[in-house]
Amino acid sequence: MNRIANRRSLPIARALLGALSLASLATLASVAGAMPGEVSFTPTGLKLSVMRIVLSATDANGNPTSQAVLYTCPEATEEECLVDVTDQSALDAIAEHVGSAVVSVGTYDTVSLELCASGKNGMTPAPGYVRGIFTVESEHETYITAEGDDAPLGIRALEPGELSEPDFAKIGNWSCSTKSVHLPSPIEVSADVATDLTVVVDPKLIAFSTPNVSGGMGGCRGLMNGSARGVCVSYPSLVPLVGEETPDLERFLIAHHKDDPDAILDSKANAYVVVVRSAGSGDPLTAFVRPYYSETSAQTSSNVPYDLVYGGPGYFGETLVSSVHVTADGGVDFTTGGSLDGNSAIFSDFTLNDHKGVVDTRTQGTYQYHAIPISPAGNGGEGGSSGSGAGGTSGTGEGGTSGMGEGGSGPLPV
Amino acid sequence: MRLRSRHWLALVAVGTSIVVGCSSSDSSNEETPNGSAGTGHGTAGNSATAGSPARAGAGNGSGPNAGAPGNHTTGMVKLNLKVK
Repeated sequence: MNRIANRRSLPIARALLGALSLASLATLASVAGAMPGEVSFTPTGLKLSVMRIVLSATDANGNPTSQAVLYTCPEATEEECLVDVTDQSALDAIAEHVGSAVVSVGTYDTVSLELCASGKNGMTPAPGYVRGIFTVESEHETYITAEGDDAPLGIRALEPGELSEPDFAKIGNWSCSTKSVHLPSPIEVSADVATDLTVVVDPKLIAFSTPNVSGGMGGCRGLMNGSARGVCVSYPSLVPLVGEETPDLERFLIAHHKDDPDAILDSKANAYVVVVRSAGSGDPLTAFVRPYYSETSAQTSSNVPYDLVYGGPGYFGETLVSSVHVTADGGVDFTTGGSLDGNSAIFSDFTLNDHKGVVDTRTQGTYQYHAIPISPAGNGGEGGSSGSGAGGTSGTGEGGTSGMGEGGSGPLPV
Repeated sequence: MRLRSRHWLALVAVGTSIVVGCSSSDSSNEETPNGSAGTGHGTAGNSATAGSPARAGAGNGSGPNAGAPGNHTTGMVKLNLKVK
């Protein structure tokens, strides 16, 4: 298992190194930790430059052995190639432009999305814009993204009674990168046959705001000394799958306790897990994770320092696709992070319902966890205004910030 | 016997490619749909002369046109992008 993990981590590590800004973003975003005033939210708009989408065959080390360009932006500059990846019509326009791309027959296993024209590395700024709204309960404030003198850091608080809509604001410290993702199962391109490839974008909870955002962090816009509220954005998750049907995404927030499952506090949830399954609630296909921040979240072990009791493992990096297997009860086992990420989460049987279990790590032992389903509607940081906690089976009621305290027996409205 | 026939057919094909100026070498190993047009790596003439199976390597043909047609070496990928 370890050998597999090590081997498979190489291409992932390489991809992350190649995408310098992504790597720094993931690390630094994690360091931000959880504290009062910190919330994750789902952008209502996210414009990224999509210069090329490339299909690759890779060797055991992740090096491409052959490539086929599926899409090339018809414009010359990154600014001209911005696409709102939260807008289905914008994504449809790309697909329409591609039509049926002619590629050499063969087996391909990786899809890459290039933010910038070739020759530009992670030191080159890339355009990017985010739009969203979020509420910070402890401040009794709702913020919107905006540009202008009243929003020098890309956000401003709404005045009482104000109903202004958010505008796109420039993402801070956003650089050229390539996002490469392995397919759970490779795509076989046969002669004279059209094969469908579906790439799902998940922008949920990929933005967060804290009162102490440093403009030096990747994907973050704030004062350099970190003395003011700002906004950070992570790269949206991409899931490439063979076929034309849109898969289902089962989303969960994860709360932990070091050793007592009955002592888990859901309000301390600090991770986001998505299991992708085939359409119609079919078999699990793959899974991915990312950190989640709320005003009550425990600091995960991907932070320094972290909460030794409620923090749980680290949730960063990619899932090792080769590690994803369906378990006997319809769940999945999967390993996240690279071989050097000793604290990254390893699930042995993550079922697709509200459940408790044990999550392992490579070097830091195990943690008890509670997987709390998230309803598809709503927006992070906007629900759960006061944590009514009326006995919801989702284990809410522990304070309910960031959409976690709406009582009810259903999934959490994040 | 069947094997010989196949070789003979191969020679014929090679010979044909000389006529059309095809410079492609061993078309069965080609990865691009239209051969390596005019790149001069063809072998057809030499293969035919030697009477050996149509293998690549020796010739320096300089045909101006694309290589052997009819190789099914390409497929299509239809890309769908979905936000969830």
